[in-house]
Amino acid sequence: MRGAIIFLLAAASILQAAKIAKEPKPAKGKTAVKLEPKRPLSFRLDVMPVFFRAGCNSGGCHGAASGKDGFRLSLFSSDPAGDYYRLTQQMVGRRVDVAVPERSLLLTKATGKVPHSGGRRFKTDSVFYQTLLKWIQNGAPDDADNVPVVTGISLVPDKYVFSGKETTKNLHVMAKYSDGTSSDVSNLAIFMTNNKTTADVNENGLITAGKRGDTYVFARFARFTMGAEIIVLPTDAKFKWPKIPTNNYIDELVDAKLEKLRIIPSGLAADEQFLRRAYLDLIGLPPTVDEYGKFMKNPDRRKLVDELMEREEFSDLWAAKWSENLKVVGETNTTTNGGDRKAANTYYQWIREQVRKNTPLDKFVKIQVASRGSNFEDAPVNLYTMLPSGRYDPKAVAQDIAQLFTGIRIQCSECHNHPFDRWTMEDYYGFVSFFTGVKRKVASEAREVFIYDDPNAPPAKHLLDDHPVPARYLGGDAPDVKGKDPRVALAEWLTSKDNVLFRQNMANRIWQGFFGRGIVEPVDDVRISNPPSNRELIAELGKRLVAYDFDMKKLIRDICASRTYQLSSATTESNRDDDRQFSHALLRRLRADTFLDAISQATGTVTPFGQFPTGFRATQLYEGGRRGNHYFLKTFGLTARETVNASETRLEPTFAQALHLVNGDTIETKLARSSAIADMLKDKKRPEEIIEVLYVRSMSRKPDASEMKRMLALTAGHETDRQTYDDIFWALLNSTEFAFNH
Amino acid sequence: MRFAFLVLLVLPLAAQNEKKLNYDDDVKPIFRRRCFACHNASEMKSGLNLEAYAGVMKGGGSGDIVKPGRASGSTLYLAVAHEGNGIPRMPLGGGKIPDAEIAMIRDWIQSGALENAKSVENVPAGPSLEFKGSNLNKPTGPPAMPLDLPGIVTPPRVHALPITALAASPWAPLVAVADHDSIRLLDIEKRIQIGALAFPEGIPYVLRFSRDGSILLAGGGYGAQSGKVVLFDVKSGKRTAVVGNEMDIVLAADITPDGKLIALGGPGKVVKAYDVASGKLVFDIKKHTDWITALEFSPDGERLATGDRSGGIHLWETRGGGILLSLAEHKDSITSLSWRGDGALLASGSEDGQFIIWDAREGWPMATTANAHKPKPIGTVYGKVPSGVLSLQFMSDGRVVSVGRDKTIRIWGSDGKARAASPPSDALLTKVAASFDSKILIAGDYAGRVMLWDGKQTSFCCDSGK
Repeated sequence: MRGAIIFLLAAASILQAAKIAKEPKPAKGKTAVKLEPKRPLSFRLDVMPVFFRAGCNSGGCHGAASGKDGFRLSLFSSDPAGDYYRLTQQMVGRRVDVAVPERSLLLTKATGKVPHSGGRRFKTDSVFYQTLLKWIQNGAPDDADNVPVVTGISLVPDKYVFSGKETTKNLHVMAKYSDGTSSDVSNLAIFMTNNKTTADVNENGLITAGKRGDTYVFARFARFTMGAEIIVLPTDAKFKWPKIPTNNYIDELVDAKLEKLRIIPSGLAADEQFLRRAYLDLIGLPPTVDEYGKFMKNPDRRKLVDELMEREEFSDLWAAKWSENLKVVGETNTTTNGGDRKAANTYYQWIREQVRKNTPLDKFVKIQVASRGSNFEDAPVNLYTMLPSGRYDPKAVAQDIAQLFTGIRIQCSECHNHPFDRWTMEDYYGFVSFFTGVKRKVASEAREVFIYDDPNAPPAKHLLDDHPVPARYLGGDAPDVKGKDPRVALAEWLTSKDNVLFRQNMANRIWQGFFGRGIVEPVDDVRISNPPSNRELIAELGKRLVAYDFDMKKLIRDICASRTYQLSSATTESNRDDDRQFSHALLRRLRADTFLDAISQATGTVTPFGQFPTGFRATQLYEGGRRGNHYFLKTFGLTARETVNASETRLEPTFAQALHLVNGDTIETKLARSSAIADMLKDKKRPEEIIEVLYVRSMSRKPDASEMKRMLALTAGHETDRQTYDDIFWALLNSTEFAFNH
Repeated sequence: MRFAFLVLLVLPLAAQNEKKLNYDDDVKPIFRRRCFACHNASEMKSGLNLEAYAGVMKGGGSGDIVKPGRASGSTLYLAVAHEGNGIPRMPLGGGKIPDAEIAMIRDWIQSGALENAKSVENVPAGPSLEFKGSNLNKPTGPPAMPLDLPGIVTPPRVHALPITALAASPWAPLVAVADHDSIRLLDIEKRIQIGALAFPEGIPYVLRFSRDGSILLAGGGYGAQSGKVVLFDVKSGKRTAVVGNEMDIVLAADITPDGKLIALGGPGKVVKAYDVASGKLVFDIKKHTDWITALEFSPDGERLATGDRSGGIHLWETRGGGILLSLAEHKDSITSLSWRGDGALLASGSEDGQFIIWDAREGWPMATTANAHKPKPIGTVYGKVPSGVLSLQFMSDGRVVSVGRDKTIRIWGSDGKARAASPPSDALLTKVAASFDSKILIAGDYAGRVMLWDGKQTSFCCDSGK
């Protein structure tokens, strides 16, 4: 297999959307490079990849922590030395039999010659078998110290557009080694696709085009994962990109992608739609009747956004979102395990104040990451009292901080190199080492703790062999932090204007608040195998955020001003299936707190929240209404703030939610307490007027003619009967239109 | 080599002038720093008062916390070491106390949990370490040596098979060595290979001579296919019995001194005892939860010791298969079990690096040696280096010989103290045995060679193989 002659392409095929790529051939005039690695068969480079490709070392098989049926391999080949030991030295003579190699259990099990829970992994005439056999025939040697390592992989082609009749394409994987050689490892790589319906890929790297759309197909070899963008165009459409106005750079970048995919965006949303959407997204409340009237008289969309961003409720909503992710909880009255009420409130008030003052995001994050001091006096240190939820574990805190501020989930790399991303265990423990010195000291007041750093604390130890791993930035350098608090350096690096991870993640989190999904989705699962749906867009948003000195409001202004944000949620024929390119507004169920506040505002009632003052809205609760054990909030998926996961705020509709709206006491009670209808009846308003107000209160729009006609039919003969209007209002509040931001 | 500090002695025989750890001077200061906040005379959390020796020995609400001489059976040690199953991890809600303090508490318990410097040990006295050899099972006539062995055919080998099994006759200069589909027989006095026995059943993973040296037992098979135990008459080389019909190899087997019963085990996790004459299963033992990796009958044949891949050891009555004792100290695979000639002591070796000598009547560890075969580190080495004991045997003179991952043959007294060590070999030593007269130590290695060590120098033996 190694001896195969490999042709390296002088140039990777670069494809244009409109052009159909031919089978890649060596560029004319340049000789194809012939590579024939001379090195002997290697355990790490040749044998171990077989275990990965054949699935032997996956988590459900021998890669499980305790192995399988008495034999363990390291998960995804993370521990070559250990694997060599277990194969050759642990049960001498059994797994590997150098005397009569064909008798090795490794081979008889893998080929199913003897009973094997995993069945037959490959046949005796396969390349895999021959590799293993040859290695055992060689005496099953371990690698010499100077064995080259894989330094990277590349895909050929690295992007591909299916158009016309062609439906399959072979993906090749080339590996580069530290000794300068390369080889085609397509038969040892593992292939995955992000969307089977658009492009499926089989175990040999053969891509099969499916439904129109764009996706990525990935290959994994050694510790590297690479993706190739695959676009599948409709075969028959006589596509012509219509002239569509653009408001700013966002529209240009979104439209460029849509044109490439031959998707035509929806039309602009009506003023009423935009009004409700902007209110809910920016301040977490629908407009009142007066606000509705004011805007409709002069529908200036940009002005509305500017006004809303200055509202107190804007601070409430965005402080609530941060507090969810930062796990601000006030469960107990003791600090030892985090979650102290006083600390939580201190922290929340500080967060809200930063939003209100529009503190630049880099500063907001930097001050928390590098914080030290008292949980009561120095609010930002509560990052280190709230995240740990229990005993302080530097690993858990490092994971949370990476996820919160870069969107990267490094936790897989605690036990093995990340199988679908670039992070190694070395990266993981290097990042953890920023937090190994953080200590908590209880003050004389039992609930008060001081957070400080012990600069002499040893760095984190690598899981496999306990070697200390000094603090190192994710994918970056190791700063000199001797005798210093390493978090100060980390905070600088993290929030630096050059840190693409940070700026793009912050921009993406903001974007997500206005579209219901991130450009990378979920916003806190950034990895090579989860690429952005529009690379250029997220890059530009990140750059703009930096240009605005991390002023969140300036980026929000751009987003809200874009035509993309203002599109209708009604779909067209070409964008019906699109849910990732922002070609139309997505339907989004209201967050639990916004939902409850919207019902309260529509009915003109207040919701009691335990010890909080009357009139507080759900969005204003510093600990997210957890302690009140509020049924509505729980049922509608308010986050428990137990993890930093963005997906913890649940928006999926459930049966319990439907039952609660229809049969529960939330809407019923509020209707009974509401004086809205009674007041209008008192003022002798006509049915048309009352119905119109009820529509505006709930849907932020006036009823159309047919709706009005049907409603009037209901009120006919009951023109002054409150019950009839209550029923209408009840129905409106129970409608999907009310429950969704659209 | 300073092994003395590694050895945890629990015996009165140990040097009397050695200062023993005691409560007043050594352990109480630790308790004061770490435990008194809750476990003091007035608070007595969980009914436990650590402020006084009497309180420590009285224990708490759930009973004794200290068993003198048995740290691993003492709740106190398990609680602070965070090792017990279902035992609270102390200090509650805090981090582990420093390792050095845990070690001191362990050593204090292990050395008898004394009160003060003047205390006399209150550990039960074990059996005598004195042993002058035993004539039990000595054959009446001259010991068996092969006379005329038939030639055999074995499959061609690409490389030599690492030595997977090795045995020395207890009464003659005869050594049996495992090879692919065969067993080589060596005369270590004349340093020649006498001949070979065919073992078409596969690779032998266990070889043993019967107690009188007249029968050779070979157990093994083909991985995940079959496992069998075969008996050979040593003089004639003829097969006298074949028992077992296992689905996987036999890793451990032995025959009683009367030659009537064979016990065997392997990846099947079940110890099976077969009647030699009828080939029928007499009883089986299903207590082990992992592969059976070692077993041996006591010299009188009354008891059976079995060990598994998780570190569990159990002692059984040979008649009926009832359990006598469970010996739980090892944390990793048991590689070897060996009885002393008088049946008073049992030695166990494990991949966890420990070599333990047990009082076989009471089930107490009399001497525990950690890191018995730890390789010398090359450069800066972090983490756990495999330091397992791979094979050991009680010698006829009462000493113990072992090999392990440090590629060295080591000899120990029955007090667990290191007596001698061979120069390290260039290959992993996988199996070891001692000659009948305890004069020559025989080790098999990963390269398929047999190394002899007479206490002065090593040499490879009898390489007439293929």
